[in-house]
Amino acid sequence: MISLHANLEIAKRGMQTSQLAMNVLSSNIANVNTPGYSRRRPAIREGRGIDTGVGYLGSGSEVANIRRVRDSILDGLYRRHQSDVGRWSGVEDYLSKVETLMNEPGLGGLSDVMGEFWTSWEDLSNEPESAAVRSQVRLRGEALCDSFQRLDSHLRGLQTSLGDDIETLVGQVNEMSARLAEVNTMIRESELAGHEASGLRDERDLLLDQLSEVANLQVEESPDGMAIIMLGSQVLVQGGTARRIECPTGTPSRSGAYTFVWEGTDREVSVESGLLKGYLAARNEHIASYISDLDALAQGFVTQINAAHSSGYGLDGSTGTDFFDPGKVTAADISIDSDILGNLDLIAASAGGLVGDGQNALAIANLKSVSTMSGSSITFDAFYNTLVGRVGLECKEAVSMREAEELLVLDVENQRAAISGVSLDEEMAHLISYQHAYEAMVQVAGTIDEMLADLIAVLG
Amino acid sequence: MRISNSGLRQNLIHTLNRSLERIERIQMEMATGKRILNPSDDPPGTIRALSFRRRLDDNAQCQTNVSDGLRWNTTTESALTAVLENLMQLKELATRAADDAMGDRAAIGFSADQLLNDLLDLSRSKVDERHVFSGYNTNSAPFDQSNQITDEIFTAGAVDAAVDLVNARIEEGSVVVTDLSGAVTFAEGDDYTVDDASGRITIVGGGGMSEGTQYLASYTTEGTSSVGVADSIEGSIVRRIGSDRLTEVNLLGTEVFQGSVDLFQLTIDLKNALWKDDAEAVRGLLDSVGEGISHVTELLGIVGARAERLENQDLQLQSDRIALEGFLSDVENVDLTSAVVRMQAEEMAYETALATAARMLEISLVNYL
Repeated sequence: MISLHANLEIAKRGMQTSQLAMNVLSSNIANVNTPGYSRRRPAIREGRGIDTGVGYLGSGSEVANIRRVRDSILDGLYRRHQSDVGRWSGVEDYLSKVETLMNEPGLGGLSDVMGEFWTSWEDLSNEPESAAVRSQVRLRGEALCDSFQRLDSHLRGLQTSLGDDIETLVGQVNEMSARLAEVNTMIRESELAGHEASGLRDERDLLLDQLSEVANLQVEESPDGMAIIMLGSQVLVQGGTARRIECPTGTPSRSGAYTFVWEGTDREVSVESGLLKGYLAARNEHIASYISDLDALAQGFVTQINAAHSSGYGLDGSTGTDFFDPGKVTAADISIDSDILGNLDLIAASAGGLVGDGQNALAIANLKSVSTMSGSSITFDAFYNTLVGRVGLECKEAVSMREAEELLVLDVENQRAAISGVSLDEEMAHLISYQHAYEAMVQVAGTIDEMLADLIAVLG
Repeated sequence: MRISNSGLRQNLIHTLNRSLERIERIQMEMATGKRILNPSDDPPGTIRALSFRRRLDDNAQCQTNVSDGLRWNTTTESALTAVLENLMQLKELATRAADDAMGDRAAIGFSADQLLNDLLDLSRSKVDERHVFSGYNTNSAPFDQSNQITDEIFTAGAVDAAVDLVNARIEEGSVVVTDLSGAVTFAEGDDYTVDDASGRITIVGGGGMSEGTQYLASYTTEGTSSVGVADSIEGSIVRRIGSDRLTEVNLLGTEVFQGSVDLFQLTIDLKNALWKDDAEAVRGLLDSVGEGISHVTELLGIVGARAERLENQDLQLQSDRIALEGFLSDVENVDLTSAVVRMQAEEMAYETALATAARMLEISLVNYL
């Protein structure tokens, strides 16, 4: 036999269930704009039934648990694409700076300066006697050297700032992995009682989302709720411990490749994606190769023009002089020979030694159309144009890869939002339905109260 | 599908951003007029644009070379025309003087002397202080003139029978006569007399000189009596007028003035013959004058052909430049009409997106509760 009081108990539990559910809903609504928040759902189930002798009777409803609504497969996808977005945006970020520095195609780029340099030699071949034209040749030569040096120092400047960025990122990775290890421990401790630590898990997922932009991660969850976080094939966080990454100590050599190791070991940290990889690639591969191309071009200028120049004669009959300083053959230090700087007459326009002979100047001007670079296969201009084209192409690749990955991230993000995001309308609808349930339960309680009152009035 | 508020917001922002990005890009293109702002906008196009730019440089340089070449050529041409004019006058003088009936040949001699000076001036024609007929020695005049005659050998005639020295109009008192070894110097008046105007020398009876013997005479003439090459005249001055085309723009002084006929020597000979009143000698030089005229005419033909070549090349370079500028513009410049159309389309898309967003964000179940 079931008492009226049991009925009252069902009403109480029903009210409690609705109230708890409404608490969850309000919390969802309150967090509608919280980054990383996954909506929670109360799992409501029927209370355990009691055998009344005529059949099982429910004992009302109860909230079995409160869980996040989340799909970990989407999290994995999101992080993978996010890593790629980071990687390509890192490359794009710096290559677009390289493009701006090169200023091509435009006035004042190295291509223009080279063109003016050749033109000045040809003007000299037309007027080898003229001191004004000679000083123009020297001026154009100096402008060429300046352009090389400027471009080189800008590129090296970018490498330096990349080094700083990488250091900052490594610092962030260390901070985040330490926090992840803490959160891991907290999750294990909180979930000992068997309930999901939703807030902590949200925090961990958000941290992983952020970290995945920096480096490529793989995450596995162990049965105790702790996550094993791998950076490539190496463990970054396991349980409550995080491994630290170490930047090169002292002032890192800016010219060489930039690498880093696991703290306390010699083992290199291998990063295959993420912003860190993008920066590393921009610094160690892209920009380093642009610098070496510029060096090759500068060296080509120095050797080829010096060879042609030294076979000619200056106004004063001198021969065998260099136009560029033969000891300075990189883009960083290419400069006009100090003798030429001191005496314009030394510029060897003449092939035979006579003043009106401009044949050697013409021969030097003609070097522009001679295949001198890359094993005598292309001209100076073509070599430089190829470099510009390569910068453009690599930058374009980074941009289109970044855009494509961003679309994928957006897509996964949408799917994730579809599952885990809070919809106000939906929460409101649920809220109203729980409100009605609550009101109905109050009504039930009131009815039972009246019944009890009736009973007491008649019997008492 | 469930749509959450955060998803909705993300999508809206993404759409608006992309749309705005495209508008900004078109705006940049329109503001700069350039389709390629950075190499990554079109890497192969950038390479082409750069190479077109360098080809335009080259084209401009060739045009400079052509116009510089034309200046040289024009200077050469006008000098040659004047030389021809000069030779024509010389021929006219010679023709008049060749007539036996002609009276005052000495007066014509002065005209010939003037023509010689003109010819020397012409040989020193310059482009911007550079001698055009000196080959590579542009800083110095191609020819030196002199009025000094040293050690001219003559054979003494009989007493009172004058013999000709090579030159007439000798400076008074400048003649020095020695024997062949130069050991004995004879005295004017005692040993010989000189007729300065006609350049004739006569031995004096009772003097130290004897008929039929060879002596050396050194003297100074009033005008120029010899012209020689100053420095070596060599070297062809060239201008590059196309990618692989070189053209010569100078003529060497030796080629012009001392080619098949030495024009200076011819004029000197003629004026001497005139001053010596030697019609026979004048007649003998007429052919050479004719030869000189045809030589210079021939050279004028060469120069004219060069001028034509340079002018044709100039036209060619100009049309090349227009074509190259067209190519460059195709690669580099934005098509404004299509940019404006694209801009309008993007603008509309953006405005529509904004309007939709504004309405979407307002709608909520909360409003109806």
